[in-house]
Amino acid sequence: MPSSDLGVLAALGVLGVRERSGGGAAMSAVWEHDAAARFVEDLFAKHHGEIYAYLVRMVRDPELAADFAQDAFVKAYRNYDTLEKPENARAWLYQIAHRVALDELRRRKIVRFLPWTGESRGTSPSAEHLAMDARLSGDLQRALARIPERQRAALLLAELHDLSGLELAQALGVSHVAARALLTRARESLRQALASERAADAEAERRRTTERSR
Amino acid sequence: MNYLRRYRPRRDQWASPHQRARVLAAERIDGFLGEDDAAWLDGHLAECPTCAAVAAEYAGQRAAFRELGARPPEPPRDLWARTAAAIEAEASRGVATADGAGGSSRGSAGRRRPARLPLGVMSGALVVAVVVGASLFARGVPVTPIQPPASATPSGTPRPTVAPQPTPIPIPAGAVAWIRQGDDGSFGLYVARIDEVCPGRDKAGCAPIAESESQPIANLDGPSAVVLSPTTDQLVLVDDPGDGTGGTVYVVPVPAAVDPGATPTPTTEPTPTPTLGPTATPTAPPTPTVGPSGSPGPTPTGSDLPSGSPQPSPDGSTAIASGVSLVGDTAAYAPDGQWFAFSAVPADGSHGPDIYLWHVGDAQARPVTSDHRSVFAQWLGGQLLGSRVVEADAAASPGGSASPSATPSATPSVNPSAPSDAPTDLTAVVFVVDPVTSIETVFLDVPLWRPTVDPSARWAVFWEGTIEADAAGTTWLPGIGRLVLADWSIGIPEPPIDPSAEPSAEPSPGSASASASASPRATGRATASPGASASRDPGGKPSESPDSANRPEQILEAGHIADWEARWDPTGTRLAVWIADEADPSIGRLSLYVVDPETGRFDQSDRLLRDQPALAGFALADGLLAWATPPGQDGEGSRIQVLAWSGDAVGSAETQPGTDPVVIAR
Repeated sequence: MPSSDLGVLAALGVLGVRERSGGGAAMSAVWEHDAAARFVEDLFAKHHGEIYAYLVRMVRDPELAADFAQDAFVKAYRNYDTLEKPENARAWLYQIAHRVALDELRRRKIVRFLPWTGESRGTSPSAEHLAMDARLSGDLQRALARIPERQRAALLLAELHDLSGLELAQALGVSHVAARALLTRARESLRQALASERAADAEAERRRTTERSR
Repeated sequence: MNYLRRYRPRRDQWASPHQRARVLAAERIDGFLGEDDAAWLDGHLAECPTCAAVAAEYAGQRAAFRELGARPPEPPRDLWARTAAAIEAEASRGVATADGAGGSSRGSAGRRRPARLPLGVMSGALVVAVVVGASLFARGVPVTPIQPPASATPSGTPRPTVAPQPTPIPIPAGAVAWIRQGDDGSFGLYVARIDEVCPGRDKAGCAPIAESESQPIANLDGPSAVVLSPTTDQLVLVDDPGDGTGGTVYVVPVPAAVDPGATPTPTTEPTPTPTLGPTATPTAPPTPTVGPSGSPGPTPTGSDLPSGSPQPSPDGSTAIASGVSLVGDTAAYAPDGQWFAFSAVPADGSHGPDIYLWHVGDAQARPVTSDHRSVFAQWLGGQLLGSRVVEADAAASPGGSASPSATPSATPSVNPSAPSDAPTDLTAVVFVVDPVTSIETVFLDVPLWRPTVDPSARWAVFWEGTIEADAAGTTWLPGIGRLVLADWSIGIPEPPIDPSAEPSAEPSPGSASASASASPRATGRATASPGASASRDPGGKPSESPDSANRPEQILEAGHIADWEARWDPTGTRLAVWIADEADPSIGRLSLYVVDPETGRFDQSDRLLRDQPALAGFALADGLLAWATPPGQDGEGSRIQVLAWSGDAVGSAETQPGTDPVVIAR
């Protein structure tokens, strides 16, 4: 670890101020001598909640999100050298998490036939998704799930994670102008998706009413 | 799929003040709006209640997000323990600072993917339709036979009954499958079994094709192509989120029977290319011992060796390529169903098309060309037939002998992203790649571009004329010239021969039967023996053989053509040709020609189908042609149209119009 890195860590207040949250004696070699590890541990302490929340909202699967969060912090550790300005650490971490989510979403996305039920043409969501929906219910979640991933990311980061301007652009890995355009597109996509969700709700309600009245 | 032709209008060109107002209203939410724009927006919203409603919806999003943000999900308690252990493992490998930002990352997350290409943009959902064998039904996709006239359709959308009912023509059972978006936004596979159609082309009074209930497919963003395996137990699906990050090519298992009520129809099971003879890839491929294997990575993948990579799940998909945009509509399974080939460009537009090959069971497709100028044409005798754009003088250079050359270096490595820099004289070469050995054999003396060869390997449809770079500068499109049906001078290429062996004029036993129906002449040139000359006339026509001058060359289309797709039926007697529209290459017109397989002749004035409007992507099987009409005609949505024939009888049928455009699966 070059000494300049130590300087950065000192400036961040990272050196020697954390408690070991889960390591144990076996880990001491890493946590004592590896500045990157200690830096990431600090990052984890400060940001793991919001990173996890972002990932859950991106992928709508708590297990997957936990995997991704873990992966993001490991990558932060691995690419610690690439963080140029410590004050950018948060956006930098979001950028890593964002890439993990997008890459893995694409890679892991399971396209498959669903059992044919002879009834609905709709998808039958998995148990996890149903559970998620129960917790994070509402049209917004479903509408978010329907818009393109990068648009979803832009909206989540801007609305829920308070990233704006250059931070948002960095997290999304695009230019400032592109981030702005993405966000604008996302709002329109979401508006249409929400309208469609509401129409579906209304239709379902109408059907229930019809059946009850029969 | 069309050649890289999907456009999205630029966002900064306002189609209307209303569009501008919506964009500005969205930007205002995020605090991007300047004073001038804000003033304009307020003025517009005051006058336009519709736009004001949209703006209110944007504002409502913020409130909804606030509600959502009030319930942040709780991270699992063991997250740090897991993360710390992973970091420790990483550190113990000593790679902590070894790789920088762009470094490869651990495990699967960092697996290098094929280069990305910019996916054009397909807005809206589309339907993908395919003509499938009857055996799909045995796998449980419930199928409703086409309804006899006058009966109400089970879909609940009864059609006005028209008085005179034509007598339906029974035809050998076939099926058409397609994917479209249902009312709830999810995608599903729809199948219609077709065993009778209405006579002629007049569908008035004819009951519509009854589609099956959909077989829902999870997690699709926007399918743009579907190809069913000859074994019908899986299909390849190209899914594209439409956000410019590229499409992903998935292999999706078709579920085993879920509906025992669906009666299998064992009668006709059209095998994909029955006339091709032996379809299996050579079981004892020539050992790729010596040199001419400049082809990218001759990595012999034993055809019986499943990849070591784990399959995701029994019923789950495998993403065999991502970040790519498919080129053309030729993607296809090999006749034996063991290989799948397609052409693609990276989503970032960094270079032109290459051919990718996937073996059943593998985790990823691999590129078999690296020149960025190659497209897959079709499978021919178990080998992959490709077409490549090259500089004219390079192909004709003395070094480029007519002998089989397995060196891609014969292709000049000019920057394909700037093909229009100079009016370079472009020509094309065809080549075959053995899927097992990856050995590539180039036929330099056959300057045909994108040939479509008939099942007997005697005739081919190809382009004669100029080739132009497309708008993105990454691939090529036809310019001015003509699309012709003419002699295919190669025949069915033999597997590459060991170059150390004496070139033999004797066809190998394997290829002898493969080309049994090919003319001796074609077979004789199958390996483009060194004796054949590479000369050709300025038009780029092969002229080395005196008899090729006598060969009939018939023009299918002439002039400026935006793009085309051609496909033969398995009997070699029907040829479907789709010509893209100049203004919107996602639509075009489709014709079906009757070709005499002995003479290769057709009658322009006597087509079974003549210039019918059709979306890109059609399906052709023995006795059945299926395509999707462009939406918007008569204000209707897209319909699946079917033309069926049996003997001399010809009939047609169509579905009810859907709400979305349709993509036909093949």
